[in-house]
Amino acid sequence: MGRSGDVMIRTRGLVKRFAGGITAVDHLDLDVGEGELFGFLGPNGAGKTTTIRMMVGILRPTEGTITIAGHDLATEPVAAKACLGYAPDEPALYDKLTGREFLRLVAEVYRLPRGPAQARAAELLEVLDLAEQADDLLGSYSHGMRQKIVLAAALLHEPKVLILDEPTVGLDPASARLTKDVLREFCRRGGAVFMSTHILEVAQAMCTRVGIIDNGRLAAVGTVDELRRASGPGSLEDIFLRVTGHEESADAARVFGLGLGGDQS
Amino acid sequence: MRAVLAAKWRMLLGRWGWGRGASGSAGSGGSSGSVWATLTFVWLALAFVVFLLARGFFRMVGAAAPGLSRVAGPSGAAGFSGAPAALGSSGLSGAVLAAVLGLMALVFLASAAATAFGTLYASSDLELLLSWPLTAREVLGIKLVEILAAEAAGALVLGLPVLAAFGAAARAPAWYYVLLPFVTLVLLLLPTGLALLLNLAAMRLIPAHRAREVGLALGAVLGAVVYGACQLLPAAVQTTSALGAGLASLPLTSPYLPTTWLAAGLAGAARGSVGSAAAGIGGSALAGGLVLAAALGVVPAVFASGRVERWRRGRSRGRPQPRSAARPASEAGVRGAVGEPASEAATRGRGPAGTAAVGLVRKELACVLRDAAEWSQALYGLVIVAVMVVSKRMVGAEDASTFALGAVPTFLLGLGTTVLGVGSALGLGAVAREGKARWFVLSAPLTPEQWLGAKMAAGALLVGPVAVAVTLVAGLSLARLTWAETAALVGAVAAAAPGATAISILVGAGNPVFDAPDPRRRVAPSAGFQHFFLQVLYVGGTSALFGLVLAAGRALDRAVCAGAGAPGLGLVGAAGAGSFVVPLATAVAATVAVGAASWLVARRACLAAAAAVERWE
Repeated sequence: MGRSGDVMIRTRGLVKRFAGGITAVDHLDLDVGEGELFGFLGPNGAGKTTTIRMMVGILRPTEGTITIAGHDLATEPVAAKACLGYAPDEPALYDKLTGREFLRLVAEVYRLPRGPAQARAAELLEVLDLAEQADDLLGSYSHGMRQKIVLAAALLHEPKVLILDEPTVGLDPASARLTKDVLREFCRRGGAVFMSTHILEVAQAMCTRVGIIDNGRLAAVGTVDELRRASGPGSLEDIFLRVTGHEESADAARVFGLGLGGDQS
Repeated sequence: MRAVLAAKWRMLLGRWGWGRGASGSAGSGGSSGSVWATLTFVWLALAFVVFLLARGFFRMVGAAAPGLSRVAGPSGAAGFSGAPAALGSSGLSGAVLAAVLGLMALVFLASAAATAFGTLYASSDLELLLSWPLTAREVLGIKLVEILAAEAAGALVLGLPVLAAFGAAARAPAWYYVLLPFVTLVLLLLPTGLALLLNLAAMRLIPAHRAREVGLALGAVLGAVVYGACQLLPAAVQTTSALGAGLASLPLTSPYLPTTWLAAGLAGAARGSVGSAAAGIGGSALAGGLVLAAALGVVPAVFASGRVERWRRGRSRGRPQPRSAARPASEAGVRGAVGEPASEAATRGRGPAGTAAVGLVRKELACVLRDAAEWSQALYGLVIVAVMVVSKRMVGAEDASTFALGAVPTFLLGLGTTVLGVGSALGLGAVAREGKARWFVLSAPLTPEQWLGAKMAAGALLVGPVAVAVTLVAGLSLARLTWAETAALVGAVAAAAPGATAISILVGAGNPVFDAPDPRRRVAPSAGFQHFFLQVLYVGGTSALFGLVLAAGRALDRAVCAGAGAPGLGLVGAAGAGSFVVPLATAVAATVAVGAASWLVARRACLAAAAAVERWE
């Protein structure tokens, strides 16, 4: 259950089964409240991205419901989607549009009034250090620049909910820091952030609560302190490894056991 | 570097099917030996076929066009004139040889330019090679060897047999054939050098990330031109002598071209003149060598300072850095991120209702018009349609009435060729054009009908004018239409275009291939038949509807004119003194009828496409 204010994201009995009977998400119940920064963690293939893609309407759940800011995604998809901003893990964009044209498209799709939308787009481009490249084609953008323009697009319509898949991957330190600041500020102003990440340090430092998904099931959820109390002492990394059953670390020394000359000493 | 070259050589042999046989790997010796033998046989057979065809051609031209026997040498003087008696009293068509060598040089130039681009600028292993302890010059050296090796195959199968055929046709002495490997190499030098320089110039002018698209567009246009030439040439050149005269009149026989000097040298060698052979072949070899030397002198320096340096600078700098330190988000633009409940306003729709549709249509048009890979296919289709129309016109020039079409067949021809050519290129792949960026439309507050409708509108805007233009060209060149029929035709074709585009988009939505970089492969192959079948039904149905309205108009026109005692105007073919109200009303009625059918089809297709999108996983 969300700890602060109204529930902005709610999933109940969420299931996704793909063709061939693979269950990627298995009865997931989650609440994310207003002003909350929720970290969604899990090993590769655990179901994080599938969950996020269902939350933003890209995939249809096999079972269960998703509510965004009080709007059921199945019955009121347009209203629900209008309340959220989304940044995918792979920031694929329209390569033949410029950054400014892409933001204009976003403004038009979200039906923002033209003048204020233009001003806000210019402001976001300035903040995210993209102003000089705003008229370049997106096809010429680096991965980090794409991440930032996607973040700008997600923020442009002033959503209530941000859903981000690995938002800091591929960003340089300054951009990563800026992104984290933006997310904190967003939550401080009452927005809800649902963010998946592999960087546990980021999750520990930023998130008000974290959820750990493993094999499609929610294995643990709560603040880091609550998880520590439930599963034993240590960092979030230790908790994560315990919860997901990967405590036994690989014998790293074996990687260097064989020299080029075959010397194993 | 030697190790890299050896690896490249093995890869090249492997590409030709000789790798295993050449390396003699154990375990598969029997099968690889048979593959090697089979491929060698195929290559030799191919070369032999080229030889036979070329020899026959030279003999026919020599017999049919004895006046084309002189080849101007480097000084502009006659290169050769005497010829064996078997080839006619005045000798073999040496000017034709110059034209043939010129054409071959152009083919090698195009091939070498493509190979050089693929090898120098678009190769997947370039960054790997640059990261190895090799100098830029060594990397370039490897690439040059790759280009020459790749081009040598074509020269051996295409060039050498043609040169040998000329000797056989001219009954050249034995030492002529001894010269041929060297002459083949000379024939390769000039195009290869020019191709390197052309690539260099192109890469300086065209941004690297657009080069492939520009190349694709040029390739499509070149293909269309070749197709056009193949279609139109038979109509223009009816006899061997006309072909010979046509070839000899090409600018490729100019006395200032090295290929003309080479032809003069070969002709001299064929009749046993050592001096002529040495002057012609030597002059050509010198010119080719100079161009290649210039390319080898200029390209490495520019290559090393351009492509390589850009890459190295990029590697050392990494990703573009922010120019300023990150500012606190609260101070810089993130204010109000959740200030006013904007999403509620967005839900209500603050902007005009059509804003989203206009934005999506604009996006779609920009994505197509800025991508040469998209519109070059449409251009290619258009050129083919135009050539088909023009060639029919040329063939039927003496009896134009044979090709006089009515309005309905012209409608059928214009709309049909457009939707199956341009419409397929732009409409079928429209949904999969979203590619990996489809997360945007799927997560945006849009219904599938909204964004698919925008795609259909954009497609109709692209296809409609082309359909009208093609129909008008077909109508003006093939049909004898009255003004009323022409007006009805233009209106109806424009009105029919949205329905046809919607069908293409429906089929594309049901069978998308999102990962295909080539626009032609953005739908599953099985969708081609489905698309063809639906379009034939649609074009046939709208044509029938169009024909019915025109027939009704004609009947009404006749009745009105008969009642008024005046001849009919427009629709019945002869201009008279009757009223133009009926023909005009018929044109409007035809447009409205076809437009209504088109709208119904587009609406149904949009709903069906939306249902197909809902099934995506």
